[in-house]
Amino acid sequence: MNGIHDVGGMDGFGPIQREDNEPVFHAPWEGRMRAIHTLVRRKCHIYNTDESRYYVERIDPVYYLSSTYYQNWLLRMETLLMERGVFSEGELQEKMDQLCPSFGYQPDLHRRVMPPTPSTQRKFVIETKTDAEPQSEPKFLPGTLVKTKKVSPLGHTRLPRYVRGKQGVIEKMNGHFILPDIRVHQGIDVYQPVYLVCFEAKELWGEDAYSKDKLYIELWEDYLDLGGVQNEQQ
Amino acid sequence: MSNSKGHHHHHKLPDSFEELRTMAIESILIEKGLISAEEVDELIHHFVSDIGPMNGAKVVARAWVDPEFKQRLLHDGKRAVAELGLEMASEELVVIENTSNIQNVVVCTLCSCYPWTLLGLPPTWYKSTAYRSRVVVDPRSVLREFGLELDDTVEIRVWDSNADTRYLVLPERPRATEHMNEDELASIVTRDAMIGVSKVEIPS
Repeated sequence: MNGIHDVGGMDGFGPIQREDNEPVFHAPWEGRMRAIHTLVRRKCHIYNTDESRYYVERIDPVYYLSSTYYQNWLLRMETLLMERGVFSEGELQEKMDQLCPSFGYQPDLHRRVMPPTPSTQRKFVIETKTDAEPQSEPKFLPGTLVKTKKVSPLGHTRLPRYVRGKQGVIEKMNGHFILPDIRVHQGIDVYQPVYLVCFEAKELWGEDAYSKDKLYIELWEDYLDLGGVQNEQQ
Repeated sequence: MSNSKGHHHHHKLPDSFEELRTMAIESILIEKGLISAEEVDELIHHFVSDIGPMNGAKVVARAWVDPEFKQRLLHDGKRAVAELGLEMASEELVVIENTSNIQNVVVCTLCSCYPWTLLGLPPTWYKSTAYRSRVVVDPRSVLREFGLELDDTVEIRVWDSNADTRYLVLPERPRATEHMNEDELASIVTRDAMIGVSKVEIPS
């Protein structure tokens, strides 16, 4: 999805704020919440990493940008646990009242994970071959000119906007990995070749970029088409 | 963890909505038998004490003093760090070498992917929209903010870790460190140098 998380190349976030001698966690709840999240994922298998990412991506953008990293994590974790039927909002509030009757809080209207937006024209996932052999022969060899698909799927994808519709070169094939898009939206594990692809900075950002600079990113096979002039003219 | 003595039963007033919410979630999940407070404590201990930049620094120092290890490290990162007793979680590890002409820098524009085993959990700036948005489009200005001025002749390679591979930058060994042993070298390697936003300097 073209979500708020996909910030590569955006302007306006200001200088990078650094903290000297930063602690691993800024408050004890951050560590506990992170550990709980890891346990429900790794030990209880209530959700997987790709699914949990899709919940962060759908956090109301106003909340996403105005909250800390772990505030966003907490929101996605509780939403996932509720949607998976582990507990309800009512149960959670009852428990909060029990633990601290005097607390009371004003709910933040933007503190929510938005449901997927319906569309009459857009697809949820990039067109993909779900019937491929588990260890299919890679389609592209190192040195091949490829072009990323120009797509706007509504669902989860690991193809960031700033590399879509751009031409790059296959550096190497890194192995077969589960395609996250299909895993989240169809619940099946499709293993596909993943390539390390190199883009010239000028191809991504235009003439201002330094001619030597490059960007490397890993892309699943179905994110890519053959590139080059010949292919353009077909 | 020192607070494993039933800390969640102490009815201290929570400092924030998030703290109370987390306490309530933990409590419900324990009641349902899904997790235990001890497991949570153990994982926190792991995040705070077992993992951290000291692990990556060991790897870098070894690569600086042992050329054969360095070759193995650049060839198959995961297997090479296992020689030092460092086990990557499920991810693959690729180690990328900086030279006087090439500066590698790592980011995760979509979330916060990072080589935890070797560097610990990422600092807040690495996870910030400011860093994630800008380092891909304007790496030289970002590096300048970190105090790293690069010549126009240097090629910058930005690595956006969006998939199952994690990246560790192997910084250049500073000049005049021939007298230093492996442990001393490890002590000067910084987290930021292994992300690629700074160089390793000899402390003056």
